[in-house]
Parts: sequence; C-alpha cells; structure tokens
Amino acid sequence: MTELDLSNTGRGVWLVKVPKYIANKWEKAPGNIEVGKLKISRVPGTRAKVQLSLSEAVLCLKDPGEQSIPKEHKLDVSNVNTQSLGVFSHIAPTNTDSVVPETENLYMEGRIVQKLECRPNDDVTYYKLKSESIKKASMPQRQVQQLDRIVQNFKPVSDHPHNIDYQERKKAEGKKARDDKEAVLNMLFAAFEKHQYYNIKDLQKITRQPIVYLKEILKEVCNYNLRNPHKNMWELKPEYRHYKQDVPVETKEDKNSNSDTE
Amino acid sequence: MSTPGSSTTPAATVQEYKIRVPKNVKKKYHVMRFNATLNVDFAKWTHVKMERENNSKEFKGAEEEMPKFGAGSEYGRDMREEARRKKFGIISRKYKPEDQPWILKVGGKTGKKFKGIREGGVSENAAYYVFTHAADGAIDAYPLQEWYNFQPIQRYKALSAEEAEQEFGRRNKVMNFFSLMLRKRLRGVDDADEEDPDEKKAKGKAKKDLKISEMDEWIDSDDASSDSGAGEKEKEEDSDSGAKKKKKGKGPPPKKKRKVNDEAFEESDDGDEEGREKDYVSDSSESESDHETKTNKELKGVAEEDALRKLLTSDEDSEEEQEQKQESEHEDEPTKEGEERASKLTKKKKKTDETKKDSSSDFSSDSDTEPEAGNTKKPKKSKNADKNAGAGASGAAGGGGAGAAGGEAAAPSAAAAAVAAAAAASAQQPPSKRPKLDASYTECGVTEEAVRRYLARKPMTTTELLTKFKSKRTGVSSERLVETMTQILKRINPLKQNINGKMYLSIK
Repeated sequence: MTELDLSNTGRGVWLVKVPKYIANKWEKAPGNIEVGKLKISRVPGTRAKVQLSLSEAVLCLKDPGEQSIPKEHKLDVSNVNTQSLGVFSHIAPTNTDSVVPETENLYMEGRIVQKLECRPNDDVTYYKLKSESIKKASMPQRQVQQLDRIVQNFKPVSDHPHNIDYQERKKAEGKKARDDKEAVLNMLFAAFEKHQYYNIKDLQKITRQPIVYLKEILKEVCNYNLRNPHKNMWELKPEYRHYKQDVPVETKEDKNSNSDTE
Repeated sequence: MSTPGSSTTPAATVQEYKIRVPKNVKKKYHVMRFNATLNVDFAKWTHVKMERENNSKEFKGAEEEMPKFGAGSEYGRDMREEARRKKFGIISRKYKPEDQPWILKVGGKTGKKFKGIREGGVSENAAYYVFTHAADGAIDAYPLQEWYNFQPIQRYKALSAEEAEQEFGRRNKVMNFFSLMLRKRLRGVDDADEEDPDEKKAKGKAKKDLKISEMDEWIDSDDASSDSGAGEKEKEEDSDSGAKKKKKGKGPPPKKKRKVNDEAFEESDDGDEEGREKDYVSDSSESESDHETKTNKELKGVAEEDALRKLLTSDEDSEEEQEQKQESEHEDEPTKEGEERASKLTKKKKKTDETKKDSSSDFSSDSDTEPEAGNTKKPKKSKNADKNAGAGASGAAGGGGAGAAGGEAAAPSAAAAAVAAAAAASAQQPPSKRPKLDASYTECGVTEEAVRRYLARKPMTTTELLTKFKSKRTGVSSERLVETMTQILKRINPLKQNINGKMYLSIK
C-alpha cells in the first residue's frame, strides 16, 4: 500500500470541462507553447466573467480538410457543493509485466474548488463546425460498391509455408537417436525435479528420445496414472522422489491405482 | 454576452492567464469523487494510503490452486488448459491491475476506508482538464483521465437473508426487544467485568441480600417442618440457579419493577441500589401484593385438592402414590440431610404409633405440627416455584411419615396417612379462615350428627364416608367437604381399626 503524497492537498484547483475539439487541439500542441488565454473580468456588482480564447498557434494546428474551430469561449463558473472532489495523480509503472512490480507514486493534486464549463459563443465558425460534424456522423459507415469482376481472395496452395518450415526443421534435427540410458535418466530426473507429473509427449520433447525407448525407461522409474486427478501422466515412483512433505497420501493412492491396473 | 472578451468595460479589471498544456508528464490525473454527506475534508487528511484492489484471485475464479512447480505440479498445465479453453471458444481476458478499483485508507488502521470505482461515460462527449497555477503565474492544464467514485467500505457485517427475516419477525415485539436488550446489556456488563466491577459487585450483593432475606423467612418457619420441605430448602440454598428460579417465581409485578429500576439506575452507585433492594424485600414480605396472595390461594387450592384426591381415591392407590412420592423425595435429598431425616422419621414413626394405639393423642399431636407445616408451605408458595411440586410436597409432608411407617406396618399406615393428609390440608388454610369455617361447617350438609349416624351404623373408611356425603352435597367444593369432615372427625374422635390394610372408623 503506497502512501499518498499529501503536499498539495490544500491547493484549490479548477475543473474545466472543454469540448472535444479543443481537447484534441491541446493534445496535439507541444507543451511549451501557450495554447490559450484565460481572461477573468470583474465588474463590480456583477459576477466575474471568465473567458477562454485559444491562441493562434492552436487554431492553425489542423489537418488539411479539418474545420476551423471557434476562438472565443466563455466559461460558466459553478461551485462544487454536493460532492467533495479531489484530484490525484499517479505515475503508472511503465512495464506492468515486470516480475517485481514497480511502486506506484501517488500524489494528491488538490481539491476542486470551482467547476468551469466551456461554452462556445454562437458564431458562424461554431455552426459550421457543428454542421460538418453532423454531416459526418450521418454518413453511413459502409457503402455498396459494384464490382465488374470476381474478387478471388483465397487461392489453393499445394504446400503451406508453415508445413514446409516444419518439415525442414524435422529434417535438420534428424531422427531421434537412442541416447545412453544414463543420460536419459538424468534428463528425466531433472525434469521431474521441476514438476511432479508429465505427459509423455512433453517428456519426449524434453528428452528427444524415440517414444518406445522413452516408455521403456519410464516404466522402470515411473508410475503411470490412469485415474483422473492426473490422468495419463507419468510420475516418479516413490522411491525416486525427493519431495516428501505432502506426497505420502498421494503416493499410496497412486500405488493402489497402479496395482489395480496391473 | 455574445461579444468576445475584448469588449470589457474600462471599469472592469481584467486578469489574463496564459494556459499551457505540459507534455511529457508521466503523471496521470484522476478525479476522486466523494459524496458530500461523507464529509470528506482533504485538508484534514494526514496518513493516507492508496492501492489498487487485488482481485486477481476473484478474476481467476474458482479454479483450484495448483502448485506451479515441485510436488503435485503438472508440466505445462496452464498452457494445456488455455488450449483446451480456446478449443471451446473461450478466450480468457488478461487480468489488468490498472483497471482495478482503488482502496483508500484514511488515518491509519482504525480510520475510514474507501473504495474508488472507476466511472464510465464521464468523458465521452467532453474532455476535462484540471487547471492549476504554475510557478510563473501561468496556468497549467492537465487532462483528467478517469473519474473514481469513492464510497466508504462498511466494516460491519450485514445480516444474511435468514437473519434479516428473523429480525423482521421481531419488529412488533417492542417491549420484549427492550427487555432483551436490557438483559443483553446486563450480561455484557457481567462478561466485561473489568469495565465496572463496582456496579457488578453491588448487583451481586443486592441479589445475595435478596436471597438471604428470603431464606430468613424460611428458616424461622422451617424449624420443625417436614423433611421434604427442608430438603427443598436446602436444595435451593445450594444451587444458584434455584435461587434465580425462585426470584423469577416471585411473581411478575416485583420482577417488572426491578427491571425498570435497573434500567433507570444502571450507572448509579452502590448505596442507591442497596436501598432499593431493601425496599423490594420489604415489599414482598410485609405487604404482599394482590397477585401474590392470589397465587397463594390458588396454590393452596391445589394442595387441598391433592389431599382430597388422596382421600377419595382408593387406599391402595394412595398408598402406592405416597410411597412413590416419598421415595422420590428421599432420592432427591442430599445425603447430608440423612441425619436430620432419620430423626424426623423416628419422630414420625412415634407419631404413627401413637395414632395406632390412641386416637385422641394422634390428632392432638398432629395438630401440634400442623400450623408449622402450614407455615412451611407458605413461603414456598410465595416463591411459587412449581405448582405441582408444591402440591406434591404438601402431600408428601403429610404422607412422608406415614409412608415411612408403612415400611414396617404397611397396611394401616396408608389410611392414617390419608387422615393426616386431610388434617394437614385443613391446617394449611390461613388462620383467618378457620374460625369462619368452625362456625359454619354445617352449612355444606355435613353435620356431626350425620357422620355419627354413619359411623354408628357400621365401620367405614374415610373414603366411603366422604363418598356418602359427596353424593348428597350440593354445590360444595370438595376441599370444603374434606375440611369439614376432618373437623367433624376430630370432634367425634371415632374408634379406628385396621381391616385388610384399610383403616375403618366406627363409633360404639
């Protein structure tokens, strides 16, 4: 559990709701430039007027064919009464898959004292923008197209590349040669040190021995489970085991099952 | 309104801030939202810890935990399982720790705990920025990524459906619940005696006082009482539970009163309680409440009925019954009572002997012990322990001696016992009642004359005699009949002889 950095707790911050089109621009803008100006004009006797005017640099920042956005916005100020809102931040660990989880740094960034809602002034640019977006939204996503000839997107192949790959690899490996029994046993014991139960196919992959030969050896040192908890799996005979703690009960069961089957 | 901000009036003071959107910030900003009713004050926070909730176990579900390696592990199990699931078209989603809710702990271990659940849809159609003042007077705008709604985690256990049902069933029993709570609280006090041992002590003392006072009452009444009464008394002295039962049996009104008082004075001092307890004792002993006297009467009625039954039923039956009763009585008694009992038995034996040889001495001797016996029963009844037990005891009080005698001379004693029982029953009547009875015992149609006539004609047992009058009498209660009969018999003082184990009365 990480401690929340409370150094900025007392700070009052503003929560500003802005239209998506402004947010898009701001995301694209580089960090060092001024993206806009906040003007607070106080006339005695009336409520303070807050206005947001975007900078030219941001306004010009657009893809070709994109509509221009209105420059001036007004901000409606409201207080936060029904909720207590806070802002916190955290630095997310960069690679979440790492074995040792990075500690997240958490910071309290302040308390939201005012809520501002950004509203565009009713002007031509805004209406143009809106009508354009409406038009875009009403366009169907898929359209019918007439084709003059058949499009064949699947062609029969005599040999698939992954099959060829596999064949080649197999050829390179050559036939599985019967290794020395000692060596095979060593490999097997090493494998059984890591896990208790193995499928014969996995053992074959590990030892790279012909399956008949492997089975011969396995029958000497291993028991074959026919019952369900570890069905069709090989495990070492009790006398070869090195783990003792909770095995005895299982061992007995295994013995019984073996005697049953034999 | 429609004009842009450039058209500010000269009177207005205009502040301008540059807005920047800093980039290359690793921090991700989120909103934490609390309901206002939770009264969360960020400024007061001191030790706050936060972490993502770890739901990986729940995510994995009820899959049995297999060891990843070593004993019991299977090689390549996970992969195989995954492949198997894929075959069935189940594509498992990866557990994303960054999507888990936040757990917020405020104020250390004992503080509040919140769970912040991410809210969707807030920034669907609009973007949110948080504006903060930078060091150089400009405004830094940071985009807000997520909204988390923080709710307190309840630390108590909610009722299950069954428990809730049970509680709901209790909703109308307000008074019962109240007393239950009170009892619970009292028990709680007892359990946690470190909390206020003084109070507990006072309470215990008070209880003891109460008990002693009651026993005092018995002791002076119980001096020469029958063995059964003594035995019961002893038993009750011994066992605490007996005392409790007795207290409960005191009758509802004082109990209720006590309860209310307890409630009111729960946190009071020793002195208060003691004073009150005294009050309570005097209340019960001196001026008996209506209810109590009524119960007394009722009990007496039962006892008399018992005696009557003894008279009315055939003698063999009564004998058996009495013997049984006596046996049970003897078994019940603690062994330390043995001596006392033995002495009493001899006394009784002597008494029965007297009964046999001389009738006049019999009744007089009986009448000696009678009032005492009556007294004995009285506190027992006021205690109201068990109606049947009381009645049985009263029956046995008379019958005990007779049964003991029956061990030697089985036949005659039973009838004598019946008479004795009848006498005892009559003795149980409050003294205030007796003169009235004496004056008007003829009223129930049983006259001395008639009894004499019957007895002169031929020897009869008491049972037969009673049945004679029972058929005649009109609207007279049986106990009244028995009373009258015993009175008359005492007066007549008939000759007694035992024939076939039954006592026959006759006049020459």
